[in-house]
Amino acid sequence: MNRWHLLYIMETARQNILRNHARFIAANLVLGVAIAVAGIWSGVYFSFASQWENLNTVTCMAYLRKGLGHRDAKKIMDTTWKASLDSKWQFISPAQDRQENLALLGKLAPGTAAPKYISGTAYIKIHTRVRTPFDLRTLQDLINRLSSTPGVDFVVAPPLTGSGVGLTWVVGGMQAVGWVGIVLMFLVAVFLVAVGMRWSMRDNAVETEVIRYFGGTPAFYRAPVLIEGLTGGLIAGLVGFLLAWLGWELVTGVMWSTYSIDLGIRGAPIAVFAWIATGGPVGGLAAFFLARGKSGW
Amino acid sequence: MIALDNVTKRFGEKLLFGDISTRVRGGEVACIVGPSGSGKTTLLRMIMGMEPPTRGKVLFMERDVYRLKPAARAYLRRNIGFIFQDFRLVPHLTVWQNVALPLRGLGTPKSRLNAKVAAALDAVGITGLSNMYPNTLSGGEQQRVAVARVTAMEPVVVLADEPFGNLDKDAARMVLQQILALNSRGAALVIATHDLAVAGEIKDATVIDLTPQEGL
Repeated sequence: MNRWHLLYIMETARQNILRNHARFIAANLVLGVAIAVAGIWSGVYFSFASQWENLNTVTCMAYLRKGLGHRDAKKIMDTTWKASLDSKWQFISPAQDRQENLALLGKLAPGTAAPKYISGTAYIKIHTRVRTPFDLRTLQDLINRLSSTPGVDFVVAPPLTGSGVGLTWVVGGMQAVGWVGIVLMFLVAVFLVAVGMRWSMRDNAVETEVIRYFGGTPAFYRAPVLIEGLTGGLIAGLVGFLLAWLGWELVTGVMWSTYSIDLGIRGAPIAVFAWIATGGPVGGLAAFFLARGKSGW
Repeated sequence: MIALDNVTKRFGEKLLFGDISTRVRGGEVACIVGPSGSGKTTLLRMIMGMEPPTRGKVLFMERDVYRLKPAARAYLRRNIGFIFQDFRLVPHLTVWQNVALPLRGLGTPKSRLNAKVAAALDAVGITGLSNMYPNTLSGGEQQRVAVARVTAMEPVVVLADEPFGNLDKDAARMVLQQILALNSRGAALVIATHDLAVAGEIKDATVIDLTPQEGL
């Protein structure tokens, strides 16, 4: 292959695109939007994932009988929390953290704890990650067991219905719907680009046949359509990147104004977006093979 | 140049043609005659390396065409010029671009390409049409463009599939003269036609008769 071959291939690809520019732009815009959605979603997913985990952490406190220490606390946790969820516990001696104890107690169960538990009593602070509604049920059972364990005077836990369950379902649902949606959008976009290529193949049928009859190899007459797909894919990737950027700014803006808590979002995840933009050329390549099908073209 | 050695073609149970053997050298002419559906186009495609025979061998420049890999067969086709019955001109290309198309596909440098296209258009007398599009031309003119396309390639073999099928008598005669001019420059020529009168006008042609025999 010499430079005149390359010139022919590039020129044919350019003509294909110019001749069908409206279809080319439409199909690749759809691919670009699919990439943008994938970019925003993956950015949201990866950036917020750890925050969601934190939002799903349930903290409860078990007040020990007066005079019990760290060793007793360990024993209690070993017997009651064996089949534990993803939990961490911490022994707090009466001497430390009085202010935190008060604040936490007030937050978890306002007005339910008598002051006598706050001063001069050791307690166990337990953080449990809740991933599914089943976890919540297990957690409730564990708390009940802990409450009736000798040595434990009182257990304070937030209500285990409502927000926790709702959040868990929402997060799980968003993950599933998000990924399924992205895959579907990408497939639809690739299909649309492939249809465009198929039209190009049909429009160029005479030219391709002439080239075949006059000694063009399959790789040679396929090349312009392949380049058309890759060019479209590159443009779609760029469009997707820009849309993802703008979408990200919008999403994080809404998050900032809706939630007062710091979700730890710091700017657009460029690396994620850049990576996802490569979906354009990959989509173009997939569309080429889809367009070729079993035709042997 | 071209040799057919006991070539047979079947489609399933149906025998299209059987045991055809012939040899066409540079400067010689062969006419494939027979009614529609007798396998003339199939035989031409077979010589092109695009339709393998059921049995027998096709030799092109002393090489067994169907022992070559597809890409090598494609390279071999660069020595063959093919003239279609329906011209196969690309509608969105001008006459000049149509004639230049195979040369561009073969990677011919621009300066040589321009010279070859100009010479080919001049040889068939259509230089004045070079900026026109095929749909503005008559059938005879379109076929002359197709002949110019082959002329520009300077092939060693010219295959023509019913080249006069869509032309009136005068146009057919003019196109025939131009195809024979290619032959007189040393190219082997194989013409498929169902028109025996045309075949009769070609002197010293080997005739490959594909007319089905009764009882077969």
